[in-house]
Amino acid sequence: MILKKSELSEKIKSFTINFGPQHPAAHGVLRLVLNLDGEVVRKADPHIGLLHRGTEKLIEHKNFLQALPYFDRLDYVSMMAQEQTYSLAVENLLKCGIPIRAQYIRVIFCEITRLLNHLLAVGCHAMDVGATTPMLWAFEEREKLMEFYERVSGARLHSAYIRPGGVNQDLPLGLLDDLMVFLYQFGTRIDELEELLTGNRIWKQRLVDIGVTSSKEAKDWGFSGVMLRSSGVFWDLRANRPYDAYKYLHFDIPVGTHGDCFDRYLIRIFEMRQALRIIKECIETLPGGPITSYNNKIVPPSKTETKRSMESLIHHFKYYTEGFSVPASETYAATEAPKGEFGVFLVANGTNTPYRCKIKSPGFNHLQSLNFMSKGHLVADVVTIIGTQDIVFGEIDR
Amino acid sequence: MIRLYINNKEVFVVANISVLEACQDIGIEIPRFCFHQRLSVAGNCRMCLVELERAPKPVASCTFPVSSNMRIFTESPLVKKARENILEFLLINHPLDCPICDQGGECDLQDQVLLFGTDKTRDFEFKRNVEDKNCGPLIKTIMTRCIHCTRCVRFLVDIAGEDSLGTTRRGKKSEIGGYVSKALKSELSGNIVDLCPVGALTSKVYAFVARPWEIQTTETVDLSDGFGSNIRVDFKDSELVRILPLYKEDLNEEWISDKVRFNFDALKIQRLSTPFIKTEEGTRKNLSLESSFFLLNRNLHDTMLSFSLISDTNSDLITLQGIKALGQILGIRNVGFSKKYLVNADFQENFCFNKKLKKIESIDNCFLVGTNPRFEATAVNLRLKSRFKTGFLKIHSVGVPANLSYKTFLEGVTPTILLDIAEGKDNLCKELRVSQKPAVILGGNVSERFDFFGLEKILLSAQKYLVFSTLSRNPICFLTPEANLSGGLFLGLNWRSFVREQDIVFFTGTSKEEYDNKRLKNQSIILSSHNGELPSEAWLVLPILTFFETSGCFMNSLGLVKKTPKILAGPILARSRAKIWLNLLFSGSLPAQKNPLTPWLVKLGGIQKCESSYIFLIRERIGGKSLISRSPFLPGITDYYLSGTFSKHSINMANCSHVFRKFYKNFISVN
Repeated sequence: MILKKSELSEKIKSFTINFGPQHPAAHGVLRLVLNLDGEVVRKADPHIGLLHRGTEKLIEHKNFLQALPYFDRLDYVSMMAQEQTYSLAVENLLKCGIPIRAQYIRVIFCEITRLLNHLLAVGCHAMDVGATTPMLWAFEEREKLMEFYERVSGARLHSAYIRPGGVNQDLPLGLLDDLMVFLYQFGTRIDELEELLTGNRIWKQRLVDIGVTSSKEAKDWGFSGVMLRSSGVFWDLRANRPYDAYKYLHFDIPVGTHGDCFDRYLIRIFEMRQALRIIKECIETLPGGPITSYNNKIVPPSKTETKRSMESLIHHFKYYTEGFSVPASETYAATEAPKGEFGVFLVANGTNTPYRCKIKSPGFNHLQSLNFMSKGHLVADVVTIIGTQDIVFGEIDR
Repeated sequence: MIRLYINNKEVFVVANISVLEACQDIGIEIPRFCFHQRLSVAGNCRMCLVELERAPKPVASCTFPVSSNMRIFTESPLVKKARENILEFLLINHPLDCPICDQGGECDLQDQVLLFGTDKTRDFEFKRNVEDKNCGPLIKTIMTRCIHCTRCVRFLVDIAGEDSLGTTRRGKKSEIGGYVSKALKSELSGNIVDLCPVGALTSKVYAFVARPWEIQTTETVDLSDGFGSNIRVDFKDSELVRILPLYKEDLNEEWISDKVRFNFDALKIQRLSTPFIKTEEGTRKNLSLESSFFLLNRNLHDTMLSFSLISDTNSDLITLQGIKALGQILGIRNVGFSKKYLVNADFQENFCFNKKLKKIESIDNCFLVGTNPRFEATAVNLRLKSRFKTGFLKIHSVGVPANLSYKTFLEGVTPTILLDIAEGKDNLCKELRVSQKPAVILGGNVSERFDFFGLEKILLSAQKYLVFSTLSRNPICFLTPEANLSGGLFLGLNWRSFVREQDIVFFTGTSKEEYDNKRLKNQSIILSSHNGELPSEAWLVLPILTFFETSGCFMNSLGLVKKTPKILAGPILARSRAKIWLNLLFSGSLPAQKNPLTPWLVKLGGIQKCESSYIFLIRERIGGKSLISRSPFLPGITDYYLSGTFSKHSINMANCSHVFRKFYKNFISVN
């Protein structure tokens, strides 16, 4: 039997492959079902849930303080940003402000967190695309930054440092000096990264005009953060809806023009430079004073106080055993996390546990657009797009 | 109903209540320390201050009666400030003990400071010190923590009838204590631990054992007296750590006796863990469950042997019915409790407490026959005491003189006085004659007397004096002092013949007393939970589970069937009584029998009313001579703390018995 060429071509159907969940470029446990026509992507179908831990449900059974460490574990490369969001939500419900010094400390560490996140995002993105060196360099800087985490909270990653009512403890002596030293050298590190990537022919070939998103599409798909700004939308919660100390600080917000992966890379680099600027300004203008709210009904009294004051002892005891009660109401708090708008919708029913805690993670919205962003691109570009979306499964699967 | 305004809201409440109660009725909780629903009002903590319109100062709402058109403010700035200041004063002398205090986490003071108090201290003076008091082997005192709410004093005086605590001195120097140092001697002392809003009175048994957030809670029913108080059982890591009363309006209210509360440590003491058999050399040889059941079955169905099947009152209804059924199938006549109860069990009202406990509070005459309700039924005694407090009640008693915590008139100690009453020679007849709602309480142990038939007849003939009482119901309340005694009588296990020389005795539960009392020498098969229950004559022994470790139905003195859930795991080789008996009943060697459990047993679990028209078992009436003996009534319970299988093995109860033995002799008379 002789096959005619025309019959043969009819029988070629699209080819389906599983990308992940063990693929190193899948950024964790992404299972992506790719429908290929030759090497061209027809459909990209991301499957999620492999890292589901039931965080939202677990939070309903913890008191307001015990729920906090879960937020470190959502997006595990931008820990404090999420602690801050949750703390802001609880403070909204309690209608309590926090001291100005605590606001500045929060901003310092949230910007450190932004550096941590963007270093990982750019480094890993570069490695996915084929450049090994930027990741190694970025991770060296991350080590230094995590040491700042450790010095202030005792933990390198899951710090539980930003608490409702302020921060857990004051900055240790000398930390700001060392941070300043870090800032002075870090600009050069970004320059070095840029030397390797920004003008690099391969890097540009792989990134320019890949995953182009128009501003309308970006809004339609619910993008936020870098993904949204890359397509020309000026929207940054730090500037548009300032929280904590951002309203006192001066910084620029980069906005892209093309909405492609290269724009997003450039914005991340630019944001890192702006983060340095913000931290520097914070250090220079850091006010003195308390680091937590004065109200011991919602923040624990100092240990010293508990040795001599019965009121403090009772409040300390009850704070750490029963937790504090939050008046019945609901709130939505959102911050500009490194990956985009991270939000917490919190419903309190007057008890010491949240009635409901819905988490809005930016990565979830970004991942759902993978299909439309990678349609028509080659398989290799899917890796680029996943990299530029800065996917972390801790927050997507929750 | 009168109209008043609470926080500018118009509400209607009944008259003659306090402002605090009025607020509570409409759902506004006013903080308090000294006020307690079941205690007299003291008004000394000042925590319940509220603002009244046109009142110059805030008033204590627990003592202030409502009047019409009153305007009450419970959340005004004045009230908030007042509460804050009261708490601040309380904390000035409160020691910094929370981390080492057993009340921590369930402390009223902590909760209220958190809700209503300030969070900063202004006073850093030295705190005062108070000497700890001796409150017996169960109650631990740390009197510096005391905030002088006097709940303990009021409870002991009003409810327990014990006056050894009081307030001494004034102001900063005031203390709770007594002039003379003596141990607190009340069988209800554990309740002051629950009442104490702070950690001044805590339980010695529970000291440093658990924190409230580590505890898991189950509800069940207690079996140490006939009424079955509702209790809450607390666990920490599957270990029973504490028993607390559950609120039950028509039973134990919210009080339980120390026996109920503290005898649970027997669960772990001297438990039997494996079946064993006594060898010919007199040593114990452990058996497997299979071989022990095999032996049990073979012996039970050996026609050459004759048996007595005897149970204690802690067996549940299924077990008792199993025992009875097996006795009928095998033709064993000698089936029953270890004690003989000569009561006519054909009618439920003959062996039930024919009065709702709540109705005791409205009686106008009381006659106790051969009973000590203080020991035999705490719930009844508390009701009598509370009725006695309201006045115009004379309580007469015949039997062992005892201090019942209220005044009783001892008519005599022998049954002959009953004859006088029946014949109308006694003054009591006159009183009974005019009494509208009399209560005649007959002790369960009276029916163990051989002359019970005579006594019963006398009592029944004395009914003719009770002209005003409604005769549709038997006015004689039969007080069963033990857990499932009513259930056993309900099943007709009241009577059995004497154990013969050649009998093998098959005991379920307690057996040592039987052996000690009757000087039996027979070999025996014993199902027992505790080692200390075994007589030396034990031949084949199987471990059984206690009532915490198995579910079961029990009938209490009121004729209500109560279910207990299984809440603990027992020894691995121990089985429940019901399981063992059903196994014996249904094992293949029995004569074919379809369903030896009578059908009504299946529907148990609902409430069975004791109606005289309800004849459930037709048995021949036990014949007997109408003689009465001159021998005095004997106490049903000689050592309160050491009666019952559980209490006998409890170290807590042994300590109590040791301390209180000299006070708790039954012959101390209040007269």
